[in-house]
Amino acid sequence: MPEPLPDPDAELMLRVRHGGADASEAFGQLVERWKQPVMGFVFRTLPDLDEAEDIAQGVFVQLWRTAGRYQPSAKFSTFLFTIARNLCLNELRRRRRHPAASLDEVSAEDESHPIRQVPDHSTPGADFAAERTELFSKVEEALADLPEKQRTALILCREGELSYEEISEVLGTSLQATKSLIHRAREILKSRLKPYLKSGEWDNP
Amino acid sequence: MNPAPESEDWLDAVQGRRLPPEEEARLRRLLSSRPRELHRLDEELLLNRALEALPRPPVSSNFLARVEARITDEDRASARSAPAGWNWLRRLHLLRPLATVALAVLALGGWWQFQTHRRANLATSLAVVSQAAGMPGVESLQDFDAVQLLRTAALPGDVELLAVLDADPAVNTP
Repeated sequence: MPEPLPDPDAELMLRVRHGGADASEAFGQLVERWKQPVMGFVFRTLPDLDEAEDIAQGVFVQLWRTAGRYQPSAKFSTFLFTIARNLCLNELRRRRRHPAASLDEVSAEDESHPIRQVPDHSTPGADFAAERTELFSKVEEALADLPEKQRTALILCREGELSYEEISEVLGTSLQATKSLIHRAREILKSRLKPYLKSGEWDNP
Repeated sequence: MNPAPESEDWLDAVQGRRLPPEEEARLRRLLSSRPRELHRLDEELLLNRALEALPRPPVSSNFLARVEARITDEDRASARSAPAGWNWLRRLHLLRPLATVALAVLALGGWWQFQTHRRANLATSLAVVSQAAGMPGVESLQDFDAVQLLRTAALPGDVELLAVLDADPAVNTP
């Protein structure tokens, strides 16, 4: 009997790769487990709820399509966040080329293949907006202003809870370069948020 | 439990992962005699708290259903855009070995054509030169390749005959 893999997500991913009825169930488990970290990562990169959810869904669609290429030697989280980062980068590049076009407009253009609408059973946007005080907005702004690699390294560290080694793999950088990216990102954030950090408001949001 | 970070690594530890309270306390004790580093630790921890306190963006309750619907819709859309009669286009990559063989045959044919052309040119040039310099005609070179292939070393029979001729002076006398 084959030895179980140390990464349970890798095991689920192998079930997805093998296909069949079992693949859908394993895929469902992966989506449920990782949707929040992926959404967090995408939203911190592209701070718009609707677009972030659209891209986060795209990440899992891509995961399904590329399951055949997954090798269990790679940790599942690095595979997943590599896809997420690539989709975010594509979107950022698309925005640079067409600054006025949003994702909705792009979908509307493609009328020949309308995507079926699945009704949303939740209305979380309002609660989320209420939670975002001015202080949180300052942090989000400061995060958004970081250079892409620094921001990605920091978000993967905090949102994805990836280790330095895993972040290096996603970014394609050395371990030392990754540590340096995170260090520089934090230095920028500390200097920008200095007046707010000591307010103590973080402890009771 | 994670090992307590040594003084050289404490910054990596604080910046790279969430420290449990007991580890944070140990770190404070470790840095207690170094006020500058202790101040730095406080700053790093404050930033960690600020980042951790950020509200998490909500995910729609039917997220999985939406993902599955997109996969199904994209499959249908790609099936519509590529009718069955054109499915061979998708298998173009299977033709790659055939294309390689065809290319190799073409290259070989080209090389053969070039060699033939070159030899014809050489023969024409020789004909012109031989006429001008009174040399033997090109016809004499007809079997040139075959003559070149003949063995030039003396055959064993020839050697024996020469030995007999050398040994018998009567034979040598005309």
